[in-house]
Amino acid sequence: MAAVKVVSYQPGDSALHRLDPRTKQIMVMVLSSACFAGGRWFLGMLTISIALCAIESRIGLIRLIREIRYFLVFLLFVFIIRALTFNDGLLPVLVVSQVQAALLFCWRLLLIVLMAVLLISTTPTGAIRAALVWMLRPLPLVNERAAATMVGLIVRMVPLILFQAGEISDAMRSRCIEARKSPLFRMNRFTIMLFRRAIIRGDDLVDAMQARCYNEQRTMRVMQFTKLDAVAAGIGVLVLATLSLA
Amino acid sequence: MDASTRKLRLMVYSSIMASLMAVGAYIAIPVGPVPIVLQNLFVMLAALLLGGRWGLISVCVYLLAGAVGLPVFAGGTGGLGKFVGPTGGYLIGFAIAAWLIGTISEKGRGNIFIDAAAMLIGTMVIYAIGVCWLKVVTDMSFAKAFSVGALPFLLGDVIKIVAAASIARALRPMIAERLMVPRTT
Repeated sequence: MAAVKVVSYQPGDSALHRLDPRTKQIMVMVLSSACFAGGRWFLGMLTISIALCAIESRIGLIRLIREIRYFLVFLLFVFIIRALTFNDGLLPVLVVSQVQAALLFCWRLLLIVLMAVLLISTTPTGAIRAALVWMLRPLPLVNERAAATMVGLIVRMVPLILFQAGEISDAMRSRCIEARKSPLFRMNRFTIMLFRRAIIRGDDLVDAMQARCYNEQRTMRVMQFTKLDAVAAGIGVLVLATLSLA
Repeated sequence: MDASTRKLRLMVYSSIMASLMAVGAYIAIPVGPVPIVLQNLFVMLAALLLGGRWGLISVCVYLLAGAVGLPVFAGGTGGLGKFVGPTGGYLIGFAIAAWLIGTISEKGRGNIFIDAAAMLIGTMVIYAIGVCWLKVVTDMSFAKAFSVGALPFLLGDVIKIVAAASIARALRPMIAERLMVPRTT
């Protein structure tokens, strides 16, 4: 379970912890969307802001990077695929413009993941849920409380299911199932085990929720915007303003 | 089992399916602008196991989690920007496909051939919306968009459909027992 420590809530009293969850969620939504359109100035400003937030929230930049090391391997793979070109021959060729484009793409992905990890590690699931209820309330035909509860469950379940997937993978390797040639056989075994264990975990969760008399009309967490949120929004607007720079 | 317990169980199972979709999205092989992921296998399984309505809810919750910035989309990304990016059409296609697969499969009462046909239709819907959206966003020709956004993945999708049909057959009794649903063929 140590591998999924940071991608879950870490209690603290930093400014990032004290920010209203609505501010954090709106900023992550807006900034991660802007990442796809942002140039070097925007990405540079955002990188500095994220680094400062990581240091300020006591999570630490190095620890943050270490905890997403598996994602970094994936990112390296994406970079290689995007940077290499195969011309007429079979030998891969490096083109400077393509390497720059690949670096920019990977930079964007990394920032989006770091923002999400910071949001999850500094916001309790209950606060994420309350912020979602607030954001979904104006939408017609949406049961905002149920939807927010379900998103909250995803935040809790994804690290656990990833951990289970690793365990199943190890168990399959120890039984030489990964040596089987048929991808269909391996996919079937892995998926059936993963779904079975996830469903059993779901049953435990249902029992726990019923034992605590769960219903949709629970008392919501009280949220209040403060001056700190105004400062954070101001910094967000400043970072967004760099979108217009080349 | 009373109605509220059944609803709660379905709600939790839908969240778990959405979490599995997110986990499936991490296992990605990037090729061109659209990565090959296990995500669509898990979308099809959610629809087959939970039916049209809850399969759709499960995908919608997954999309909502991604829209608010949680790293649940392919390659661990998230944010509203993904919906207007090159892969946005596939994401919308997932929701429609889940409803179609679940609804057709429910009518087929667990028949493996009807399940396979439902998944084939669902996959076609995902590609129809995804490729058209890719064409619009990247300004490619339709042939180019199809060759980049659909063609490389078709063989993998056939394997996923065959796998999903047998996996659903193995898991259905477990779900049916928990939801007190009458057993199908």
